Amino acid sequence: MLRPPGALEEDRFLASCIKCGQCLQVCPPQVVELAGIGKGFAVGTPFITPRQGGCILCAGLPCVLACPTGSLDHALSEGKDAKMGLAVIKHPGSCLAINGINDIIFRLENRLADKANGTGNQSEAELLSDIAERLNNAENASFREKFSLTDLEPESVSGLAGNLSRRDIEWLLNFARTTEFSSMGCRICLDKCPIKDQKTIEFVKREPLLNRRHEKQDDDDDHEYKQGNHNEKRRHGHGRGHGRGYGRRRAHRMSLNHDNEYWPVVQSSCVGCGVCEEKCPTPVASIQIVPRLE
Amino acid sequence: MKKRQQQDRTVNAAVKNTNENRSGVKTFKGPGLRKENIPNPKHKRNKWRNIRWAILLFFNVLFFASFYFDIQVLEGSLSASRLLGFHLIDPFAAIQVILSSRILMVNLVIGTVTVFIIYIVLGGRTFCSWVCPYHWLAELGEKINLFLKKRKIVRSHSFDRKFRYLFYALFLILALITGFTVFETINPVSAISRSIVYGPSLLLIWVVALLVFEILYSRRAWCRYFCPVGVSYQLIGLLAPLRVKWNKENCSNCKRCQNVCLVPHVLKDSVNKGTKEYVDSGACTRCGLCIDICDDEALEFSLKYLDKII
Repeated sequence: MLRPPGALEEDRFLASCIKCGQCLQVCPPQVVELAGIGKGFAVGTPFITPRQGGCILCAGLPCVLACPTGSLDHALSEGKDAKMGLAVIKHPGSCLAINGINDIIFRLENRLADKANGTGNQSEAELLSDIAERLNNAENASFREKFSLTDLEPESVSGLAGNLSRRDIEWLLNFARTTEFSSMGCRICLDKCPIKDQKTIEFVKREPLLNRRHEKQDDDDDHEYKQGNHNEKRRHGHGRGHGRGYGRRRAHRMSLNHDNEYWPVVQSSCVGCGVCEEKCPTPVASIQIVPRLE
Repeated sequence: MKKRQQQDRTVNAAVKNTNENRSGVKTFKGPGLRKENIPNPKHKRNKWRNIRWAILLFFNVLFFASFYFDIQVLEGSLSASRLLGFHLIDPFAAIQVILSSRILMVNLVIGTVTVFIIYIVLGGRTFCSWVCPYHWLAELGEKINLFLKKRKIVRSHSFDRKFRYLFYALFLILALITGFTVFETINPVSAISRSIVYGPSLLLIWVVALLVFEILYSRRAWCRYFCPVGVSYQLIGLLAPLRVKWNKENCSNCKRCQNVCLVPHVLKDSVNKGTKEYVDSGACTRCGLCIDICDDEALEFSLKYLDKII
């Protein structure tokens, strides 16, 4: 279980947590939950499910201050010093950065597919504001013209969310393909990382993934940076295949420009807050938080 | 209304039993000086119970609203909370945490001492009957139990009251040895409190099982014989001056007070033996049920030591 920031090591955490839930109460993004009866002695203790919402390491760490027993160690004063877990690229095969795919285009395509099937409810507000953030001046103008906006402030952009028709999304997709950022691979894990003063993820140029198919490698993709042989991985499947396959199919089709393929390498400044896992646009998060081993 | 009738019936039954035992003689043996029951017409039968339930509801709703509506007055749950920013911590949970983690946090000490002082003023197990949500459920369970007993559907069983101290020691030793706050895993009080504040959890199954056990097997078993949370408040309560006072002149020895009392033995030294003016302070929860039932006005809330001064 991923504990809130400042948590003592698991044994000492369980010994000292009084199960009052005050950390949950003061959490501004409301990502802390209390464990259920299935967790044995840990029932009632706080944890975070990063895919549903990562810890944003808010200033002042209210959860740590609220803890009456010191299970969340008051010695921790800044979020960047926390040691919650560690992000790893768990599914390199579906990772958009590794496959050189732009995340905005990927998300718009998914949104369009969802719209056609009438399924899914990804946050359009977040998608729109992410698009607005990356536009240059010329693109900015045509975006505003299309939606008759006077500015690109977050309020006005997110006001569009929910009102987008299928045509609007098609337009956005075509528009996004013409933008400057469209040639850039996905960097969303780094973009959304709450630690800004240090680089938590470096994108390293490597030999393109697709050219490596013939190489014999360990097919265990549950380890960081171990890229599996594609065919072999597809055979093994692991049961969670739908999401991953989805991502990978798209990867094959779209990965035209191998110059875009960068490996995300997680640095030691990562605290494992889980925001990258929450924001990872692939159907199953390609980057995930694992327990931090000392 | 129905509840009231039911209670009346219980009371009448109690009086009748005494009468039958004395084979028609209307005077009862006991230290009270009144020969017969002289009800005060102004006596309000459910006064203290209504006040108490209102306060119990108020605090538990305050916990709920502090989080749900974000009014931030009483944040946390019954194991630990902050009232307007001041830490409050359940003493038994605090001792367990200290024993299992061997960390002494300043906030933990402050919170526990605050609770200690509050309940020295208010009377120890006052927590049980005026705040604890399990107590309220158990009161309802007790009514069902008495109803079923009267219909001869269930029989009553009792345990030794000393089980409480055994449990208390057992869970402290377990916390020390295992390094887990073992009791907090099964604590029905904090389980209910957390469910009220953060939404229901499956741990409530355990609470329901306890209630069923109380209803079908042993009346008020958890509060009477097991709950270590209550024991720590009981120890605090030994020092508390707020007590129930027994007035010999008004007592007609009907013993209805002991019939409604959760812990009837606390009344023994006064209403049975007449050796003490004040009801025993430790186990007494200051619930006021005895005061409510006593229309002779022989029992009242009072401050020991202080009432002589004021």
